[in-house]
Amino acid sequence: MIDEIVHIADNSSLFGLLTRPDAGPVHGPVLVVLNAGLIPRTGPFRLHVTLARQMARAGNATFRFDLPGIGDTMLDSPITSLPAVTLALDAIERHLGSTRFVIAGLCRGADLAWKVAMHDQRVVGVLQIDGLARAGPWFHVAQVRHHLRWPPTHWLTTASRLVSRYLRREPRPMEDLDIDREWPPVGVERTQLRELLDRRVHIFSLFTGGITSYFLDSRQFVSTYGKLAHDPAIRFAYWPECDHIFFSETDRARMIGEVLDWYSKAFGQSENAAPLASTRTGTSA
Amino acid sequence: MTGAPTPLWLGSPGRRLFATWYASPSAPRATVVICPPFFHEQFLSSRLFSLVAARLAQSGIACLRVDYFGTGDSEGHEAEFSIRGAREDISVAVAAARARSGDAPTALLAVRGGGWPAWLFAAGDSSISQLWIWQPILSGSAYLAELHRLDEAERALRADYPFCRQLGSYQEDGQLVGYACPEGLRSEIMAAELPSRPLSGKTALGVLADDRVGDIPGHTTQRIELPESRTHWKDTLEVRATFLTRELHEPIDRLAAILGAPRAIA
Repeated sequence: MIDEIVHIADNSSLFGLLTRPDAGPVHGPVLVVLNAGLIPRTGPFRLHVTLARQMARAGNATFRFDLPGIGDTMLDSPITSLPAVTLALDAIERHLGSTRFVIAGLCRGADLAWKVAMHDQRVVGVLQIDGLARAGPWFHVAQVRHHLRWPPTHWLTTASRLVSRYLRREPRPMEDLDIDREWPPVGVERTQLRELLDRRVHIFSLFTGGITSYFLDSRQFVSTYGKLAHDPAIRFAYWPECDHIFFSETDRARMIGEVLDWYSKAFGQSENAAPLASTRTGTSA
Repeated sequence: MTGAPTPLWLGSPGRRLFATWYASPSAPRATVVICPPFFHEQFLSSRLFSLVAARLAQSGIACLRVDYFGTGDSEGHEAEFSIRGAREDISVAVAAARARSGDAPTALLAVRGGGWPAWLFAAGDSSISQLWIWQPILSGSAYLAELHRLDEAERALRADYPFCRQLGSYQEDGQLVGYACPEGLRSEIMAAELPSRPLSGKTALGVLADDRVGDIPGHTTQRIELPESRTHWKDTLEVRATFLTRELHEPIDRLAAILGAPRAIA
């Protein structure tokens, strides 16, 4: 397994790390992992690093980088997020010769991954974790059903905890998940999904139990995307027992295993192998 | 591009370390190796210290940020991280910084737990001009207790999410604030301290902290006050608490001035 530094654009602080197998061709499309919100390219608890290394062991290449204003990328870069991803794909194409990409993102990263897929024909797959889903009736039914199951003691305990947290001015983690999301107007996602499927883009949409502000029932996926949600190019999973940032190592390992399985089934292990470029980017001291 | 870091690899195969170099616009007045904190504090503070390094570099202080083995973008698994290993990584980073900056004096800026390996290194290398510790941790056992409190609070928070599986304790899964913390590392942290014996006659010691953190016992230190509002970033897993706000400009500019005049606090 090799980690290489790849510079994305001249006159900018944009660079990333390409993790690929030791030798031989890279199998399948290159996975490009976007920032999870404001978390640097290593991901929460080094999730993206572990994912990239396990992908490399399976013969795949993964690229991680910081979008403008996050991690090591300076804010005075004139490049915004979407063009930055395009430049990243250009840089990997130059470096590795790959012309097919899978874009992965968690939370706002999932929103951007979707946008990139709509924008760039080189994208053949999207991995979105806690991406777009509309609340709809199933969300509200789940809310009511859940609250009705609470015993009276639970109501008291919860009320007490919330009051205590309020008095200590502690924010509820991730309570603002539903703000700052870059979602299209309601209904547009179906048209966009149709376009992606027409292009034969594979989609893996994973939802966790940490986004209770908008997702509580697996049926929300179908109510959001309609019949297209059943297309064979779409893989959907709802892991209500898992939190939004994969705090547990067990959940991280499970997620990575699931992604490897999806990758293998959607893109195969040896199709469209790209030759390695003869030049290597990177600096050693 | 001004202030943009140059990424590079340090070390040898099998223990390659990822680092970023922040060159100064002209010949540096000093060079600083930034030694990051541990566990979740590493990724939470990554953006902050990237911006601190860029600001110092603009003031003529070249900076090298390094990820210890088993952390960040460096090689290794989290379970392979150790304080003693981090001390060796700092040694590699200092050599690389010196190779890039010529005769400029070399200083260390260690963050939180990063103060322990930085101290171990500085104690054995009298050519380090200054050792600055950002929000120092005086007691390893107290730090461990702090980590366990945060870890338990994070695990308990899952109760707010109706379907999230309840997690066991550190004793059951060996994970502390989301990271592997094997017994060896735990023992190292338990025993960690900032010793009272002097570092060396040539290494000056400085502390950046708010007024809740006292001086390091047994040492005369230069001190730069941090605004109390900017020192809570380590207490949660909320990443947006770590940006470089205007309140931090003055302390960092003061640090740059002192680092650029290495004999001033000897």
